[in-house]
Amino acid sequence: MTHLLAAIGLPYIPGWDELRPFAADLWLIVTIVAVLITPFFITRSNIACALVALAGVTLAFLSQLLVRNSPHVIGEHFRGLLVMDQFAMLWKLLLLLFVAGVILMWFTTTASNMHEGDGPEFFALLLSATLGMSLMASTSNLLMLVLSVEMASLPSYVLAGFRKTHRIGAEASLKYVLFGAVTSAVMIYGLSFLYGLYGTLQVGAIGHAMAAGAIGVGGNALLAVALLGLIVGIGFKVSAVPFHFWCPDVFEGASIEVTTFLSVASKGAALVLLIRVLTTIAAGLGFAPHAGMSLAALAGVIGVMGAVTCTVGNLGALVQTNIKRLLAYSSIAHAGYMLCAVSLLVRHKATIVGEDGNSIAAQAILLYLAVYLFMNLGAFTVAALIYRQTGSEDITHYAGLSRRSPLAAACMTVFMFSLIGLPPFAGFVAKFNLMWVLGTNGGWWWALVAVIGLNTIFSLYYYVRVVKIMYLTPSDAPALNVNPLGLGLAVACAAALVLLFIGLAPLSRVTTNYGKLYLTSQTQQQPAQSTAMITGERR
Amino acid sequence: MLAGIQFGIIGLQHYLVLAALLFVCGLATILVKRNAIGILMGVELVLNAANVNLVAFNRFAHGGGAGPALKLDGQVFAIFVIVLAAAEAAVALAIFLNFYNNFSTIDVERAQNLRG
Repeated sequence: MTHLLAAIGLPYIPGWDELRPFAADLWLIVTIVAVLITPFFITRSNIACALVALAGVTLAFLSQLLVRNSPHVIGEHFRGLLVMDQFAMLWKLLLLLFVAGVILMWFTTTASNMHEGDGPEFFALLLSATLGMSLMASTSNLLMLVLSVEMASLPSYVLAGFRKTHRIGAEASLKYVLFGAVTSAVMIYGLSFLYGLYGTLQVGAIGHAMAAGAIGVGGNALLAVALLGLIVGIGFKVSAVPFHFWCPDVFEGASIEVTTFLSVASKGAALVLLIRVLTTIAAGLGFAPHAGMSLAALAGVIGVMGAVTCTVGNLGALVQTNIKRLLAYSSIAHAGYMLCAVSLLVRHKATIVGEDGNSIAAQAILLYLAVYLFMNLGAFTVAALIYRQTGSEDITHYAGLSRRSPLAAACMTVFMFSLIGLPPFAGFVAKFNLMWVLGTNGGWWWALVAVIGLNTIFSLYYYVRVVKIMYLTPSDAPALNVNPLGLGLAVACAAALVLLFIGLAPLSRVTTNYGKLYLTSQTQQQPAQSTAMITGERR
Repeated sequence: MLAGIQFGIIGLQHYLVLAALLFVCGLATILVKRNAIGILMGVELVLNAANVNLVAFNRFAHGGGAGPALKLDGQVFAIFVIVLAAAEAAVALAIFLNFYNNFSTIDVERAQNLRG
């Protein structure tokens, strides 16, 4: 008993140097509390809560910008539980920008008909999920991995069914929670083997332990189970085939700002987490096939998964008539494109990760997410505006939109062409960059480039169909009186897509500088602090 | 570590086999049950299989020994998983209740308004 107490020791109290890098996450925590106590001060608090949430997200964004160049920011913190680097920073900035956009969108869509008093819960859940997604980018420990994924998932399940009397919403959240609970349980079972095989929860240390030696036939079988579990758990979040069934149903059943939030934030966070974990492990193995672990097979599985995911997403979208379902399948396809880039784990021709930890896959995915955020936010905003006026999510009701609301139709056209990946919109830059990066590695990665190219042709049909209905199908429906704030948001997103295409050089410079991952292989001379990071200082 | 099972002494292998059995039972429950609460019980079995694994690995393979070398990573992980399972059950039961209010059943086969 005494040695147990000695091992537990004093409680671990982090200093400012450890807290400062996570200023954005701390602001989110403060905002969650502030949103929850707002109704004690203000009656009819929905709008007030939204404003508090918007202010909190803005503060988090600014604080993240301010601390980015402070000393001691880059590196492992909290005894290796969390890691902060340029990659995590840029993801956090993108996420906070996106969540601010979603809150603005809430003002134009649900603000007027949300049940009075539901505001505090809604924004507390939204920001809790955001906190989880923000931490997913910083996780360097299996325990933090599980906790951050669950922190992102649990509020999302509730958000999907937030409209309590809505039958379809209830069904969507039921499907979401059942799929999510099963896949996360399987993931935890898999991770328990990863711990058992290598004796540490630190992802970096696991990579080095893999490089240290072979683990035998039985060990390899357990490693396969462990990695399968990880792929199941994260694959569900990414909505990779065959774990994508929840995605269209949840997206259709949830209210539209929740759908928007899940389509970019949830999938982006999962991809960022996957990049971090797999690249850290691959760095331990030197980005080359190794006796202790078949990195090439893992890269192959991820690559095939990405190729199948984008094909299934695009083929599924072809027959959809509901705009939310169409965009759901489209988001599956885009997640598939990004998943293809995650397969860059083995060095074939290109240098996967440079000396400074700059990962080409991380750069490509950050650039893609930065653009995808505007495309999806804008497309869903236009869909929400039309839904508010016509009460329909069916794209046949978009007939004659070019006459009924020319600006909304023009914005939607920009988003659709950008989602296809056509110039002169930023979607082209993002997709071309992704294919370029895959092509530079040569080998079977060329097949992925071909699959993405082929899928772009499939996707042409259903995106252009929306544009065709808006401009060419006649309709005598009355003109739409769209909400000016929502229209402003859509125009801002469309302008961002054009500007990002014109400002290609500065944008690519940002993502080039911010693709840097903090990998433990660079700091191998430091003693690994993998043990008892939770139980505190050992005496 | 993965040598043949020795009879007479309870070791790591016994716990791993127990955990594997729990996992398979849980997965079978998930696949067979049509009642949402039954599926949730299957999920709890899978999570407990992970807990048995974590604690057994910590006790038999990665404990670090007595005194200052003691390591509790796996045990602490298991405690977090227990709390996580409770949180997940709370959220899931609330969602099932909401589903019941709308559909008067928690049979997942009836959740067919949305076609994936």
